Amino acid sequence: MKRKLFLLVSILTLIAVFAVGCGGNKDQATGGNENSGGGEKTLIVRLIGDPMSFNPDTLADDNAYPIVQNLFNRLVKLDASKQVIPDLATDWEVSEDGLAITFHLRDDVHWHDGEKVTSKDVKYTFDYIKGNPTYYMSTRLQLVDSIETPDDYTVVFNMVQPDVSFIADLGWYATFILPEHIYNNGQPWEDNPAAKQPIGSGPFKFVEHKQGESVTLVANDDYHEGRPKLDKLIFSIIPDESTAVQALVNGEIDVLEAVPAANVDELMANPNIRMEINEYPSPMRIIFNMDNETLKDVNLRRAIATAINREEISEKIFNGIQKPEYNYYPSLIEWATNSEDTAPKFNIEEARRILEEAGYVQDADGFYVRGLTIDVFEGYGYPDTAKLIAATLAQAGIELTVQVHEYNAWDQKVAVQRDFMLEMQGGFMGPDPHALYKRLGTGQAGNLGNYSNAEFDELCLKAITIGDMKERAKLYKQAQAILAEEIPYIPLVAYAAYDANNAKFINLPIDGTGKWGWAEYTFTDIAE
Amino acid sequence: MKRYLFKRLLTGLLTIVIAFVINFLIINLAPGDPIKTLMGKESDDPVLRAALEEKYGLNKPLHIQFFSYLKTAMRGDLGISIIYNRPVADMIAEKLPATILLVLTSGVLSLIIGTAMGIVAARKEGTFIDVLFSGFSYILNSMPSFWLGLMLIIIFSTVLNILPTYGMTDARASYTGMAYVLDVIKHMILPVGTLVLIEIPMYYRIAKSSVLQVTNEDYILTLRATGMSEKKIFNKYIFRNAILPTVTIFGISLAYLITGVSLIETVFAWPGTGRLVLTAINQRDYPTLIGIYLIMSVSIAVVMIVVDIVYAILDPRIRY
Repeated sequence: MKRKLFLLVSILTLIAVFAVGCGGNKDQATGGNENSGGGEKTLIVRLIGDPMSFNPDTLADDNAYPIVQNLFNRLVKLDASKQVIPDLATDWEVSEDGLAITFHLRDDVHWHDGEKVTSKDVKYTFDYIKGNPTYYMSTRLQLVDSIETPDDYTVVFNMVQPDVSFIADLGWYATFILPEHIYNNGQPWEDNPAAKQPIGSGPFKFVEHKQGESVTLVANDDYHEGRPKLDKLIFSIIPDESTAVQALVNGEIDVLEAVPAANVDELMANPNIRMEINEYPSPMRIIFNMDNETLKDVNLRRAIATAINREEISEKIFNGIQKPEYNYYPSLIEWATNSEDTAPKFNIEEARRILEEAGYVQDADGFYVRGLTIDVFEGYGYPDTAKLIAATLAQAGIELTVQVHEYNAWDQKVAVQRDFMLEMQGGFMGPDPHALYKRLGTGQAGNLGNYSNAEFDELCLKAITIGDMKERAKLYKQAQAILAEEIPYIPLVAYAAYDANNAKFINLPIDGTGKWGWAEYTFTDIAE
Repeated sequence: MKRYLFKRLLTGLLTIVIAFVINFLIINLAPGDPIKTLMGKESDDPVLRAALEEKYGLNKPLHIQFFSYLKTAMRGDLGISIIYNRPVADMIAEKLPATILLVLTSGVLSLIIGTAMGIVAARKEGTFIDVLFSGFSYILNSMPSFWLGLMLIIIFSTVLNILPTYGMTDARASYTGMAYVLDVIKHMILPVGTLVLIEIPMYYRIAKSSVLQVTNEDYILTLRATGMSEKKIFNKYIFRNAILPTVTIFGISLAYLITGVSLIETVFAWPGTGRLVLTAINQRDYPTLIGIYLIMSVSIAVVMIVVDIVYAILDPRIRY
C-alpha cells in the first residue's frame, strides 16, 4: 500500500517536472520568435468571429469591418471619434442647389496588382451596388440619380434630392471602392473569386484566411500614404471574452477591443497594457411602441422616463464606464446635441405626481399602470438594466415585466413583427445626425416604435439640404426639443468600452482622431 | 442473421429520415433567421430584407424549401452556407480533423485513466484510495467544463506562463514539420487536459460499479473456492466481463464527436466542428446546421448498427 502510494507520488512528480521542462522550452521558443524573422513587426488583433466575405460591399459585416478597412479605401472614412475625414477623396464640394456632390480623388493610388485607382472604379462600384437590391447600401443609393466621371480623378454624384448626410454614409459600412478590372467579369460580387482573394488599394495586402483561426495581411510596400510601419497584421479569432483577456495579458494578442467591464480594473493595473476609453454615439435606449393604446399617453411615457435611475444603471451594471445619457442626440457629438431639452431627471415622487395628475388611479396593490412588458436581448448588460428599471418603476407604481430573448428571436419579434410594448436596444446614431430621422422619422425602416411627428420630420428633412454646420445644428436642436416634449424614446447610457493594447505599440486606431480611420493600422508601430 | 441485419439497416435508415425531418422543422421554426446576420445589426431596411429572403428562397413556403433541400441532399450535396457562401461539406471537412484530434486523444486518455482508477477503487473498496478517487471523481463531475478550462488557462498560461492560452497553433510563428507537430501538441495540453478531467468520472463510475458487480457474481465465488489465484480470477474472468459497458460508452461518446466538445472549443478558441455548430446556431445558418445534424444522425445510426451487430455476434441469443 505504502509502496504504491509512493509510486503514485513519484509519477505525479515526474509529470510535473516534465510539464515545467516543456514550459522552459516554450519560454525560449517565444523569446526566439520575437527576435527571429529579421525583426519582423507583427501585430495581432483579436477578432470575435469569422468574416462572412472579403467583398466589403455586399454585407454590413462587423467581423470583416476592421479587416477590410486595412485592405480597401473609401471616398471618405470615419475616424476614432466617428467623424468624417478624407480617404481617396482629398476634398469635396456640394453644389448650390445641393443636387451635385463632387469628389476630387488622389491621383497616386494603386491597386495591389499595380493598376491605377481612377474615378471609373468609383462609378463602377456604386452603380453596381445600386443595381443589386441584396447589397447593403443599395436602398440608400437610390438617392443617387447618376454618377459622372469628368476626368480620371473627379467623381460627381447627381442626387435625386439634396442630402448632405450622404457624404458621411459613404464613410461607413459597405462603401469601399472596388477594382473594376478585376470584378467586372460577369459574375456577381459575392460569388466572384475576387471575394476570396481580395485585391484592394489599402495599406495591407491579403495573405490568407483560415476559417475559425485567423486572417493574415502583409504590408503594402507601395501604399500611397507610405508603407505601413508594421510588416504583418494578423486577426486572430477568439470567440470567448475571458480567453481573449488572458491572451492579451500573456502577450499572445496585442489588441483587444471592448474589454469586458469585469476585467477593466485588472487590466488597468497591468503596466504592460494600455487602456483607452472608446466612446460611441450609440446610446442604449428604450423605445416605446407608439401604436400601443396604453403607451399613446405622453404622461405615462413621461412618468416612466422620470422613474429611471441612470446613475444606478451606470454604476451597478457598467462599473461607471457607460455614462448616463440624457440628451436626445448623443452628447458625444457636441455640435449637434441639445443639452437643454433633455430627458427628465430621476425622481420617483415626480413620476407618481405626473400619473396622479393625469388621472391614473392606484389599485389595491399600489399600481397605477399594470401589464407593461419590455423586450430585451441577452447579454451586454441589457437584461440586468431592464430589471433595475422594472424595480424603480414598481416604486413609482408602474408594473413592468422583463422579457429576455436570444438576439435573433428578439429581432424577429421587435424589428420584423413590431410586436412589443417597450423594447431596449442600442445602435449607432451616426455617422451624421440625420440618423435621428432614420431612427424616428415617419415611416422610416429604423423607426421601430412607429413614431410620427410632422414638425420633427420637416426639421430633419430641412437639415439635410443645408451645408452650414451651425444652421444644421440649430435645426437638429429644435428636433430634439420635440423629442424631449413627446418622449418617443428614452436615452439611458452612452455606449463606451475600453480598448486595450500591448503598451509597446503606438499610434493605434484609437489615437487617430482627425488622422486615420476607425480600425486602420497604417501608422501603428512599435515604440522605440 | 441476414434477416436481422436487413431489419437493423432498415430501422437505421428510418431513424435517419425521421431525424432529418425533425431537424429541418425545428431549425426552420425557431424564431429568427439568417437574414438578420446578413443585414447587420444597424439595418432594419425592409427592402433589403425582402431582397435577401428572395435570394435565398426563404420567402417560399416551408414544404417547398424542404423538398428543394431534400433534392440536393439526395445527391449527396449538403448545400451552400448562407452566411459564409461556401459549401457546407467543405466547412465541416476542414474542421473535422481538429475536433477528431481533440476528442480521440482526450477520449482514449480518460478511458484509460478513468477505468484504471475505477478498477483500483473497486479492488480496494472502502480503503483510503477508494475514498480519495471517489472524492476526486465527485469534485470533477460537478465542475462546469468551460469554467475548469478557464481556470487551467489562468493557472498554466497566465500565472505559471508555461502553456499557450488559445488556438491550435502559435499565431506569431509559422512552423512546419516537426516544429509544427510540437506546437500543436503544446496547444493541445490544456484543452485535452480539461476534457480528460471532465470525462474521468464517467469511466471511473462505470468501471468501478461493473467490476464490483462482477466480483460479487456467484461464479467468482466458485472460482475462489477452487483455489484459483486472485490475479488469475481478475485478469481472466472479472476484467473481461467488466470492461464491456466501458467499451459501449466509449463507442457512443464517439458518435457525438462533432458537437460534443463545443464549449471547450470555444473557451480555447480551438478551430473545430463544435464551434462551427455554435456559430451556425447563433447566425441561423440553416444549411450548415442541417448538414451537421444530418452527418451526426448518420454517424449515430451507423455506430448503433455496428454495436448491435457486434452484440449479435457476441451473443447468438440476440435476434429480434
